[in-house]
Amino acid sequence: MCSAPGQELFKNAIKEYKLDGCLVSALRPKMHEATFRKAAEDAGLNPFKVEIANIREQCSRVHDDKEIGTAKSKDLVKMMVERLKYSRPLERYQMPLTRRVLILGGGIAGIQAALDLANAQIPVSLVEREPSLGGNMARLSETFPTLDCSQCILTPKMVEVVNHPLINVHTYAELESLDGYIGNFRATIRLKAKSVIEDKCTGCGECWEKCPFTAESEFELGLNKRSVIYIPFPQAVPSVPVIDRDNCPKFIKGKCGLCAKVCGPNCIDFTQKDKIIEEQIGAVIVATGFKLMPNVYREYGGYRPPHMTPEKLTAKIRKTLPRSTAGRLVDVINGLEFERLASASGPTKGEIRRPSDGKKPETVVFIACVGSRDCNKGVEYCSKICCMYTAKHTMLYQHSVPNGKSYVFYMDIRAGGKGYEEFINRAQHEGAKYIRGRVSQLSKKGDKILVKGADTFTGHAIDVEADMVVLATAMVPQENAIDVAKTLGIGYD
Amino acid sequence: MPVDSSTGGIFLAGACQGVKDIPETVAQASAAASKVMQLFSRQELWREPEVAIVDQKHCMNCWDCVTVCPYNAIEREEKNGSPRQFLEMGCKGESRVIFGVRPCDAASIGSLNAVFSSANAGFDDPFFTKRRENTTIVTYSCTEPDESCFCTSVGLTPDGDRGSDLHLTEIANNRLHVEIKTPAGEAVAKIIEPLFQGTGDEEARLRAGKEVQKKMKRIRNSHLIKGWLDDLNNFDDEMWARLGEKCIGCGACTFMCPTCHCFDIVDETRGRKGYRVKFWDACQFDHFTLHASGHNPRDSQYKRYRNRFTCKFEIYWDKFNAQGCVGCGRCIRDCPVNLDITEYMMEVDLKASMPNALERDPDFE
Repeated sequence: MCSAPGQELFKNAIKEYKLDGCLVSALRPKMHEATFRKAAEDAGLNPFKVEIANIREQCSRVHDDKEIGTAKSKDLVKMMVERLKYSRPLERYQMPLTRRVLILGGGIAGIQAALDLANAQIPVSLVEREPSLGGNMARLSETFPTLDCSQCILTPKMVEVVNHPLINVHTYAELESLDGYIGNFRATIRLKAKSVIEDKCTGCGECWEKCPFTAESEFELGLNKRSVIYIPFPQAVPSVPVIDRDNCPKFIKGKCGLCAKVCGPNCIDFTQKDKIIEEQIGAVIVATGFKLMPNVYREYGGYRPPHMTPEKLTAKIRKTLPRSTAGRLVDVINGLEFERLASASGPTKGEIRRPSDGKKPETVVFIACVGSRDCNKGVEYCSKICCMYTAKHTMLYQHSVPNGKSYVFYMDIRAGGKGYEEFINRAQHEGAKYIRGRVSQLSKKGDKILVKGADTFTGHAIDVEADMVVLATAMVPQENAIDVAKTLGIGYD
Repeated sequence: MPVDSSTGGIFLAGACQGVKDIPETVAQASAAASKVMQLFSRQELWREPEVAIVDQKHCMNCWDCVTVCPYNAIEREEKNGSPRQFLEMGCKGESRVIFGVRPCDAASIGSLNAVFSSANAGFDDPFFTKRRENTTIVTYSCTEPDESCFCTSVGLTPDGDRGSDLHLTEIANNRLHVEIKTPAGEAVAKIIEPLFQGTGDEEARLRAGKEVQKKMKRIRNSHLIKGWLDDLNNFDDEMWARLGEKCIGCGACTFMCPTCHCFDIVDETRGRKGYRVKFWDACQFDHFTLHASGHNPRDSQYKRYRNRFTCKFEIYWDKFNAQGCVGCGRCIRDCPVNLDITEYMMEVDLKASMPNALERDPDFE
């Protein structure tokens, strides 16, 4: 029936008998309802007077007993005939369309989508939660498999976004709510108070250089400090600082205000409040990105209390811990933290030094699949990029410490992609020792970390005394990804 | 690469949709952008006219549609009251008659009464007791027991009147013998008074009852079971594992059983409101007694079936002083693997009456 001659038959029957309703008893409507409705429309019948009784998926395919199946299909046909009696001719209608797109997230995905759309003459509103565009890609030192400088690719795009006449960038902002439907959404956006008048600010840097107080840098993942009035990283776009009100003494005790004194264009405004704006938009692109799975260290016996995330530790406890962000083996870091250590703009200026005492690590152990591919210890899926970035890390490490030893404990190498397998081979040629096996425990031994692992090829247990351990931690959605999905009303898992 | 979300007009790009590296992220971002361009390629948007409407006559205000609609298209209109009021309405309920209840089922309501009313349980479940108060039960003696029925084996009869308000028995010449058991039954009888003809025939009714009892095919002894179960040495008897091996834990028996009543209470959220919900549970499920520590005292299926059997023949008596099994035979009829509760009864009866007779011969079979 759904073939061209079948359609012809259908059309001719409508014309010949002047039908005012059609029942197709065939297959599932999801597949061919549109086909038959189109045919009916061609034959001059209102397409919404066509109904489909699904006797294939609901009868013939699922019942072995022919009699039962036939009886059921008869019932279905009877029911659809009754339905057809009640159905009214309907007309499709047109709705106005707002030509403006809201993009959530100012990482590389959001930036690319914004540029593509704006270059096609579609106005864009870009909402970014942090004070600067860039997202996770801005944290990377080099990209695989070409070892290009990540920021060299990203920064020009960030500048292009901010300067584009059709892109309206809201940094330090969050989506409050979204009403409406396709083509006609109404978005409520909260612009968090920056305490800095954006239009006046020239980005001279006087304020954040003079600011006497510091807090942990989110961008550096706690490896370094930043001033309380800050831009996240030197290449930040827009180059307008914000005041971290939770840590600023002006807001806590009402004292200081040095930044306002040194600001030339006089743009510091301590009284600024959050602003709520509404925008009419036609479509949304969600590009909220990922973070690395928190709290994986306990898998290896780290000494952070297992139910405590670093956010829950009070300032007093933090001081007693070896390093600010964690109460764990200090030199066990995750992939993103290693990126910061290897980055030329990072806290160590591109020299790989371990966080605890700043020593150049002579032995580094990289552990792949931490938290990935194991639903008991993390997520069930493969995080896909860890094999590649671990290989990249070994290379960056070998380049920085030529005589260093690097070991990679892996489950298996998944390097599908152009030039990817070659990249892994190159890493191995450059000195990384790949050991197939898992690590069971990390413990402290002097100022080193004792890595207890296994080599499943030789069947032997392997102990490595490492100066630093890098975990290739699983990628998980941002912590508020589910809230965003609920705000937008889209499905999530 | 999938860039569509479940909602029209919202697209996904980058690692929020799934793990990917930078080249893939950029590709998906461009794909999402081109989807938006497709959408914006026309000046206006064509909409399909088929939409769902709420049938006000039948809507019972559960508001589930409001919660699940991804487009937030359904508006909540507090017309007929909130879900909570609905629940209370259901409890107050108008009085009703259940007609044609079989004697085994009528007896089971008495057993449930023991569980949910304050007399034995020490707590009144208003949901149950209110409904029970407003319900009149008209029983109808069985005429044709099938091969799974075994009510006579647990001390009931197919013409019994336990738990009945008004009891009907078929006697000869297509006539019914009517017995009024309670004031509630009397009230119903008054309503249907015009239907009565002649006087009752006590003798014919007893005769009819006896005849049906003769037709019972499945007859077991149950009076020794409780004593045997009370002996804790029998808790680890080999028969439990042997007979219960085939149970697949589907829970059909507990869901069909007229005296199974286990329930759980959880706090649920709907939107911004919270509800305390009671729902049925079943001892045949593997998480029924699962402790928070991960330990489960009934860690294998035969232990769960042992619990069910013990519950029916021992725990019910001990805890509620009521009959646990009424012999309706549903669990036999509906079991997908033909697990037979009367087989257990028979085995236990044998073990209880002849403690040493059932030493199994390993060479047998």
